[in-house]
Amino acid sequence: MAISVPVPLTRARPAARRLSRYITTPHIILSFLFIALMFYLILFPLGSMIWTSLTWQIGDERFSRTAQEGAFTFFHWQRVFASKVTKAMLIAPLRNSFTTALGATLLALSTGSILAWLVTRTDLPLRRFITSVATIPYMLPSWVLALSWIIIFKNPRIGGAKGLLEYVTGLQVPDWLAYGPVPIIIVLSLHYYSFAFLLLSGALVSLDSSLEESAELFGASRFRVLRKITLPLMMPAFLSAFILTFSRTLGTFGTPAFLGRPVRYFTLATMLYSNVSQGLFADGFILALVLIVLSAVTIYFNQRMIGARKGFHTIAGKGFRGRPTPLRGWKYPILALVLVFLALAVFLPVGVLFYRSVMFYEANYALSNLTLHYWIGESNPRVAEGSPGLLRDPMILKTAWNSIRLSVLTAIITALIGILLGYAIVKGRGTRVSRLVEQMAFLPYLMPSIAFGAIYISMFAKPMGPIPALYGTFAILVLISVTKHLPYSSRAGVASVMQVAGELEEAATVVGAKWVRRFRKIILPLSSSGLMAGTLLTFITTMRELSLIILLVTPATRVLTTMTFRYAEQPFEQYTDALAAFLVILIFAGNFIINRIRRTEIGAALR
Amino acid sequence: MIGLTLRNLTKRFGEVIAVDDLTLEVEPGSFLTLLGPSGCGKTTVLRCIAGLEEPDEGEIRIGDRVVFSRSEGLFVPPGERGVGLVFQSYALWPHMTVFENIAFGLELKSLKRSEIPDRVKRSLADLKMEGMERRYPHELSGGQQQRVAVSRMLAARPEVFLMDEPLSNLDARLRMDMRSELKRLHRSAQATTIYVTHDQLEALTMATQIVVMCQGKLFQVGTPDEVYRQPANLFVADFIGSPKINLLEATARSEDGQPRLDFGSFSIGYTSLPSVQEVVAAIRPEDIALSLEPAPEAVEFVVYSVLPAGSEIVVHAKRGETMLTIKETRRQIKVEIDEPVWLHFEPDTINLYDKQTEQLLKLE
Repeated sequence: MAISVPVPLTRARPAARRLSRYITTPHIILSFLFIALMFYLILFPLGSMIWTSLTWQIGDERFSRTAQEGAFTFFHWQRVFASKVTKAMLIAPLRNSFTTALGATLLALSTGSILAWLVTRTDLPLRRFITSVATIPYMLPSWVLALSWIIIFKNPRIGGAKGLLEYVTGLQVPDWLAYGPVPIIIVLSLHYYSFAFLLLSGALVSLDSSLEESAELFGASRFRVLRKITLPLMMPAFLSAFILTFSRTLGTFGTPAFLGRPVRYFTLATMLYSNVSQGLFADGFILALVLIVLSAVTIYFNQRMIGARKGFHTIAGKGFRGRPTPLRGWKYPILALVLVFLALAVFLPVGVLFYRSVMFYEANYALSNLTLHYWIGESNPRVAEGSPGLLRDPMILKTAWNSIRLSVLTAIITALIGILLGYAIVKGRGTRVSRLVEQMAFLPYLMPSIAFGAIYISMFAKPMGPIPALYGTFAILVLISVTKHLPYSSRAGVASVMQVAGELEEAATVVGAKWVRRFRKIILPLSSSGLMAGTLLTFITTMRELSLIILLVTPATRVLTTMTFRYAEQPFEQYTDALAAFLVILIFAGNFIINRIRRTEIGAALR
Repeated sequence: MIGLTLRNLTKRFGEVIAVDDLTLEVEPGSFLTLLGPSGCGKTTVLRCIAGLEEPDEGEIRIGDRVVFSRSEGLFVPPGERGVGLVFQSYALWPHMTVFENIAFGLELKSLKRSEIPDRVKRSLADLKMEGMERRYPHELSGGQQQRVAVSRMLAARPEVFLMDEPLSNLDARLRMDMRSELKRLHRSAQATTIYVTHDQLEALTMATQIVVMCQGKLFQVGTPDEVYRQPANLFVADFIGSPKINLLEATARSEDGQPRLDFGSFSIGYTSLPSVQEVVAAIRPEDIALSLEPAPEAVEFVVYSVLPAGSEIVVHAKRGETMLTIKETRRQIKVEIDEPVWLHFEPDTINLYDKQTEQLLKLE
């Protein structure tokens, strides 16, 4: 270290000694390593993206004669914000994003909260069954529901063939029901209601029952208690659920892609994708920045309202011991309603998907038309241009392998990084360095996946100094998946390590164990069990990930989700559905296997 | 046997001064207790000695080795200080057996692989825990876990034993047994022990030296007898002793050439006149003689409450605004509530404290 002012040797040496001790402290080394890493993985790409939006790009010559590749310009920003194309490129998608996000959030929240109340506060039968079924949609990609919707509600005008509903009932499905904002809102809410359900049932369960019981002792009716005590107490949880759902639906890609693009109904996310896939990087990046800012603002409000740590709304504790509200005569009708809802929301979509994948001719839903050709049939030049059945197609199998590889690798690396991050943060608790690490790890949470993917295109398209061009490699998929999970893994890591990094580690220090030994023999074994539930979650979310990686995959690195997306763009209906069904099977299988190994449950993990 | 020296030790946590310029000399072979209420800094001092905290000022020597010096920028890591530590929570590693817990530290010393099982066995035997090698911590009771924690420390044969309230999680009966065990172990190992506790009885029964701390400062160092008989200030007087000492405000004056202490509702003769007039008199409950009949030089009080406790009776008696606690060990005496009693005070057993400074007044 350079000491600029000459200092007597007797004072310089102690200071130098203290400094050298500081920088060789293990958790300090880890912290600085992480800061550098996250700078590289998050901030630098963000900056690169902003830079790209402010410079001329290849191909811009068609827009302006003064275009000079690499030179600074406001052109792109003007184009997006203040030109003839602004309405189509920005205003309309922005409005659509808001509309669909708001609609979906309101619907999801109402459904989720009613269900949460029914399950936690009444004597509805089959509560446990309902709870486990209600969480299934969250395991599936939201766009799988979109695919099912198309199957059911498609009409010949836009979809090219009759959907199931029209086939069975003969009713003509109106355009607005088949594609566009209405189906997007409904499908999104069918996915996110389970998210709201989990958040709110957790909050309801942890409410201290004595608050309600004391109101009852004063003679207040059940309804009054609900209105005047429970609901106000639940307000923070409601608002938080609202904000979290809203920010997620704002930037979601898959569902608006499947249900909006065929009728040219764009949201910010799909417009972003369009731009980037056409090579209009700068425009796409600006839209991504808009999404990021919107998302960050929304989450900022959530943090302010809830207070620092609750962005993830971790719910713990069993505060509620009260008597359940009797439903009396309403019990069975409500149960029937709930079961019908679950059947429609959960089983029907998946069932329809499977059914369609075994249909030979597209529009023929009759039982006589069933075949396993698309699953295991041999290549037949008269059918689907000679593509073999799913399970026989080596390309599909390789794609499935890519999906599994990616998910497993991401899960393992995320868990390990989580523990290391948790250790660095916990050991440095209270210092500026530790807070910086924690905040940087939180950044990816602010960025919608599609925008994050855009960031990485910009960053890794060309080699920059020692950093290679990772675009098109499998490594970049792993990199972005791990980075996207940093907020969750760091939180989980902190929680796990906190129980260990206190006296248990100190006891090892006092007997002389060095850091590596302490980490290997004490911290790692004791923290890893806490991380297992999170690992399962990481596996599942990576398996169903679409928007994060859609911009980064190439034919060599594609995964099942992106493959399904591609197939849906071509008229390979049955393959699309078969692929989606195959993905669903894999997710369930993975969930089952990991559950057996670890005996955790996704509901518990999210709780 | 080696001693320790702490010089001008200061440790801050943000705004809070946990240890305030503490200087202490620990004699080799002594059993020293750091005694004080929660938050007084005693655990922080222990952790500084162990090397788990780095002080902001001062110097720590173990034997003649400087293990910490702020002015020199020296800091010897915990593993190299030759100290052993028993945590209040035991800190037994839950994923390791008892054997592995104890062997963990031994593997790092220059102990031969073949010698480890023997050492572990002997450590366990010292704590009467033979045969427990294969158990896991969660399979042991609290008392057993505590013994494993102590034998883990012993096995490494450190020269200095550091113990952070090791008995506070045990029930009263077990605590008594363990106190004598720990004293014996200290003696047979010829170690120097520093023992943190908030239990004044524990300190009195176990220590050769007691250090009373309050708010990071050292209030008194002395033998148990010194600390009990001559508490250096009102805090120490109040903290040590059960039941609590009686503290009464008084005015010292001279009457016919004889020194007297005037308590307001009564007055008694005293040995000599202190340097200050406004004083606080400290009288131990067992130093008050209680009589059911009027006695010479005894003051009449009324019984407020009687708490029989097996081997003794604790009586609260009131006169005017003054309430006194008396410990009476004669079992036959029948004390009744609201009945008068006569209390006699022995001046030799009364300590006087300056009311302003709260310090002990030394008298000729």
